[in-house]
Amino acid sequence: MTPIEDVLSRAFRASADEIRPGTVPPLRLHARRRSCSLAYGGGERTRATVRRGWLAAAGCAVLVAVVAAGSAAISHGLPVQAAPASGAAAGNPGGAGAALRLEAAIRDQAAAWVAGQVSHDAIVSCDRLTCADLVAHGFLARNVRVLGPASPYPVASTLVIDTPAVRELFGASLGTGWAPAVLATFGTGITQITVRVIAPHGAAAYQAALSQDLATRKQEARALLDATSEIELSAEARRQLASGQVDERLLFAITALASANPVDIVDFGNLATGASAGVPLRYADLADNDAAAHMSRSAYVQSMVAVLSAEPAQLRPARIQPAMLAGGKAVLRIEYAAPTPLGLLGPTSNRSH
Amino acid sequence: VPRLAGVECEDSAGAGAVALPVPAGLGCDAGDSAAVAVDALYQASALDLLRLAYVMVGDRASAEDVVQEAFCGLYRRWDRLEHADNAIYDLRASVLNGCRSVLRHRAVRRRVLADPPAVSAEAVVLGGAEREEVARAVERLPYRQRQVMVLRFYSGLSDEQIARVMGIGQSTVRSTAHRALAALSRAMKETS
Repeated sequence: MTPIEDVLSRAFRASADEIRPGTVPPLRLHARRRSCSLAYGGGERTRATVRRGWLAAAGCAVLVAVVAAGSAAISHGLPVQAAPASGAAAGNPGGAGAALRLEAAIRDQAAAWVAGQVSHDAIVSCDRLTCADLVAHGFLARNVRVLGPASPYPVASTLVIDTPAVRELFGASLGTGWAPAVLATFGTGITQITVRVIAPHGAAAYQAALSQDLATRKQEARALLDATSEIELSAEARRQLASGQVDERLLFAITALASANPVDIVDFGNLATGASAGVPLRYADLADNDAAAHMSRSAYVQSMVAVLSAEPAQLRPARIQPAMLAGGKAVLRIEYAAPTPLGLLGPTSNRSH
Repeated sequence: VPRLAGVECEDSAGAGAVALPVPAGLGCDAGDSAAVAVDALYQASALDLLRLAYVMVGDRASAEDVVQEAFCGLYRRWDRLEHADNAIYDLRASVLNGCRSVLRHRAVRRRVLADPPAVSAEAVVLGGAEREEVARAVERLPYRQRQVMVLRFYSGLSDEQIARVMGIGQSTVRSTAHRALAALSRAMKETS
């Protein structure tokens, strides 16, 4: 044995000897085999504390109600604002007035999407009209940067809303050189608006970081699936997870949830159309109860909300709300704000998409 | 109520360990011999696995959770286990996977919350400077290298056994160990 091997062996042994024989806690197997886990927040270890209490449950119920009401209000507002312009465009498709109204409607949709989906800590660059719309939709004015004829490439921003007016300023170079990833697309043709992530170190560095992040997400997803059998997945959800499509923050949320209760994942997704390939899926639809948890539906949902609310602010979901899928299945949707931090587990955490 | 030594059954509400009315000699699921076998394994190997997890993650509570989860996982999968003799390999692999999850979660929390690395003052005092130095150097190794070092120099496994536990080839074990030792030597020289 070489000296370094000897040192290692002694150090490991000394560390291991801190666990003395006779101090190993008893094995605790659940009465039902399926449910055997570190459930209910208490863990299995000796003298572990039980976290749940009536106050936390009541607080969580209020939180769910407030989030659901807010979300319903936002989603109810969107089609109302878009409808008049669409109708006008259909009635007079060739007129300049109709084109302007169509452009305004698309701009409004894009602004509403950014205000609803993007983290309000993000810095967003846009043209004057779009920025005004964005602020009108409740986005923080101090985090909005208006682009004009003298503006340089907005590399200090997090996102850019690429409108016809912005393309007039920068041409296609902004998208190809500094903002290669599209989070969402609205409209088509010359009126098309895309919401893009700024790559402060250029498109090539961004693509390299994205590839690295994808590999990490795949690895993390495999580790998650290997580490616990408390997670049930639909075939589609398993495929999405295994192929690294899922936002890393969701992986941490699922890990936290599975350590408290069995989790049944229905699907993952994004509330956006026209996103670039490789942009992670930011929401997960979870079954709103699991028979193996032996809890009422409301207690199960409350315990999930409690677990997620206890996560650090940066890993806490933007929304936790009930949703109804197309097939009529009720789910609990856990959603994170855009953009997804890139390289959360790796060395490149200063970029995002 | 007859109970297996060391095994406690939890009620469905999870409020704590309770005694269930089970037939004499059986574990938590009546008629389930898995509990008997898993308990026997626990009695025989829990201390070793707990120490292994402790060496890997450095804190006792997480190590206990990881080991408990590994045994629970084995209990759930018991019917699908091809050979009961393989159970210890299965357990060791589960413990190492669990340790990896703990360390990853910890790494993210450190990055996100800017928490300092958790080497307790007590550990430093009790363990001495050399152990602290080794702990810090090992902590900086990639997880796979750390795993190989611990399995080889703490668990005393052969390359073949390490390969089996980690699901990799023996040549990969050897090359990983070589790189890890080289990195540790460099780190220790720099420190000294």
